[in-house]
Amino acid sequence: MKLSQKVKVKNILGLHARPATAIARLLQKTRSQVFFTYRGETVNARSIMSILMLAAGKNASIVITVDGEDATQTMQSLVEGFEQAFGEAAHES
Amino acid sequence: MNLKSKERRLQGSPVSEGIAIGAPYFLAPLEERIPEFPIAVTEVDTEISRYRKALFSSKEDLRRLRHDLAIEGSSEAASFIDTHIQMLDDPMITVQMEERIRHMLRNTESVFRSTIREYETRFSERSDSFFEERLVDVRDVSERILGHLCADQKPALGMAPRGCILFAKELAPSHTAAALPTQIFAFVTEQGGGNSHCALIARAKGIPFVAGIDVAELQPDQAAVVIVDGLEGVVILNPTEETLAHYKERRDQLITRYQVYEKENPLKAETLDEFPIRLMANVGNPVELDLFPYAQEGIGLFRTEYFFLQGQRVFPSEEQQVRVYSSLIEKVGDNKPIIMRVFDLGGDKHPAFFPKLKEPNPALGSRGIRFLLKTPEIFYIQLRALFKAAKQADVRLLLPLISDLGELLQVKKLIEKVKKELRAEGMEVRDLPIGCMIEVPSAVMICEALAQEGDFLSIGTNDLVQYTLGVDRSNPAMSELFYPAHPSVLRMIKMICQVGNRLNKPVTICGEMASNPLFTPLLLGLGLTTFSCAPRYLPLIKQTIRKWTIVEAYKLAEDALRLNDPHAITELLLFKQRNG
Repeated sequence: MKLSQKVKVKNILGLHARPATAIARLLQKTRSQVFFTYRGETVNARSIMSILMLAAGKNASIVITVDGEDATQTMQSLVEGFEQAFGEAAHES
Repeated sequence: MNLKSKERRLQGSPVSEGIAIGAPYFLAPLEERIPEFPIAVTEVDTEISRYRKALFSSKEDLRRLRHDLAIEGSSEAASFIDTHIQMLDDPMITVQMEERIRHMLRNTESVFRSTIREYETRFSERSDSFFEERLVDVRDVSERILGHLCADQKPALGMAPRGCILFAKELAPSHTAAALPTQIFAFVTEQGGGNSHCALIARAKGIPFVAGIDVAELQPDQAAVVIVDGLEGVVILNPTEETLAHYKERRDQLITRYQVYEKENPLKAETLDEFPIRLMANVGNPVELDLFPYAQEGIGLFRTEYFFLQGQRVFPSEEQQVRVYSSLIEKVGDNKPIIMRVFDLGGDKHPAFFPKLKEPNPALGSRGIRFLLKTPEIFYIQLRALFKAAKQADVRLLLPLISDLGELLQVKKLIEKVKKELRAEGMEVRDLPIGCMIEVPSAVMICEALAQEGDFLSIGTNDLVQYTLGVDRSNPAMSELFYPAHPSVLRMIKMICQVGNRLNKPVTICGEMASNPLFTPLLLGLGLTTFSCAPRYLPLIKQTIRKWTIVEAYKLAEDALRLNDPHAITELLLFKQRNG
C-alpha cells in the first residue's frame, strides 16, 4: 500500500539532528519504504544525513510518502511524531 | 591595529622544559592527510570489510562514550551520541558507501572523504548558516570513522621544515619518537599530558613541549615567529622585539647551563664521601647515543619498542631486529651493561604493524608483558633476535609491567625454548640475566619472589606512581595529583631496595623520577645506587650526587618517610636541594 500525507515541522529548530534521530529510530521497527519530500526534493527518511540535508526549518511543510505492507501504522506513528515535535519543545516562534 | 602582528600569549600546561623560538608548522588534521590511490577489482572486498570494521569500531567507541557519560550524568551529551550511533547505520554511510567503493575503485578513505565533501557542498548550497551548524555532527562522525580507517598510518614528520615549532591537535608516540631536535624545536598540542609517552620522549630528546593549547583555533598564517616556553607552559605568537630579546637571552642561558654540566662529564658519579653511584642512560634509539656521549656506564633502559614505532608498518623481522640491537651493542661496547627492555606495547603505545586492540581501559589492559604473552609470535622473534645479537656483550633482559610471578615463570620457560632452538641451529648461547620492571603495586608486594626468581629489579616510577595513586599520568587535569614523591611511593621504593639488598639482587630506577635532581638525594637515601635516565640529564644528576654524602641522604630519606603529606615532602626536598 502506498500512502501520502502532508505534515508540518513543529520543532523550533526544524528537522535537526535530534528529531532526525528519532525518525530513523522509529522507522527501524517498520518495513515500508519511507520518503520525505520538501521543496521539490525527495529523500530516504531512514537516513539522518538525508533528512538534515532537507534543511527543513520550523513550520516547513513536508510530504511523507510510505510504501509497504505496514504503511498505515508507519504513517500513523510518523504523523504523531511530527505532531508532538518528536518529544521536543514546540513553542511558537 | 593589524591583528597578525600583535603579540599573543597563550597559557597551556608545561610538558617538557626548554625554550624554543621558530616558525610555526601546523600538522594538518587527519582529514587533510588522506592518501588517495586506485584499487583493483580484487581488492574491493578487502576494502569493504576494512570499512565495515571501521564502522564497527566507531560504534564501539560511541557506546563506550555513552556509557561513560551516563555514569557522569551528562544526559544532554549522551543524546548527541545516540544521533552519532544512529548515523553509523545511515544508508548513506552503509549501503551507499559500499556501492561507491565498488564503483569508484579507489581506497576507502578517499571514497569516504569525497562522499562527505559532496554531502557538505550540497548541504551548504541549500541551507543558511543557521543550518550549517548541523554539519558538526556529520563532521564529527566522519572524523571518527576516518580515524579508524587511518589508524595505522599516522604521518611521519618528514615534511616539517628544519627549526620549526610543530602545532598539532594530538601527537602519537611515533611522532615524537621520529622527531629530531634539529628539525623540530618544540611541540605545541591540544591533547597530551605531562606524563604521557610522548612527553617522556620529548623530554628524553630535550624538545620543549606545551600541551593544552587550542591549536584548531589558531590560523597557520597568524604568526611568523613563535616562542615556546616549556617550563612555564607558555606559547607566544608574534612576540615583540622586547619579548623576543628576553627569551633569546633565557634560551642562551639554558644552553650555557648544559655546557657547564658537560664539563663535569669526566668526573666520577660519587657522593662527597666517595660512595660510588652507577649512572646509566635511558635510550629509545641507538642514534641517541651519538647525540649524547654520556652513557659511560651502560644503558639502564633500552626501549626496544620505540625504534619500531617510528612509522614502521610491518613487523620488524628477526634480521632487522638483530641489526638494530647489534648496532646499539657495538656503540656501547661489550664491557658495559645494556638492559634491553622487551617490547613495551599496548596502552598508548600502539604498533603500526598490529591490529589495534579495542579495550575499554587500555591502562589496565593488554600492555607490557601481558601483550607479549598474548602474542607469543612477536615475543618469540624478539627473544631470538636478542639472544643472537647479545654474543659476548653484557646484555640483560627486562620485562615490562610484571604484576604476577607466573608471568616471569612463563617468560623463563619461553626463553629456555628459544635457547634450545638456537642451540639446535648450531649457535652458542649464553644465559642472559633477566629482571622485572616494578611498576604496579602488586609487583612491589611480591618483589621478593620476583627478585628470587629473577636476576635484578628495575623500578619504573611513572607507571608505579600512576597505578599506586590511581591517577592517569596523561590527563593534564590530574597532573597536580601526580606526586612522584608520594609517601606511598617512597615506602614502596624503600621496600624494594631492602629486598634487593637482602637478596643481593641489583635494583635500578629508570623512571622520570631518576632524571629530576630534586629527588636525587631522596632516592640515594632510600637505598638506590643505580640510576638510569635520559642521557641529557645525566650530567645534572651527577652534579647533584656529588654534593651529598650518603649519610646526609639517608637522613633526608628518613625525615621524608616520617611525613604523610606529599606537599610537606616536596617542601622538604625543595628546602634541602643544593643548586648551582
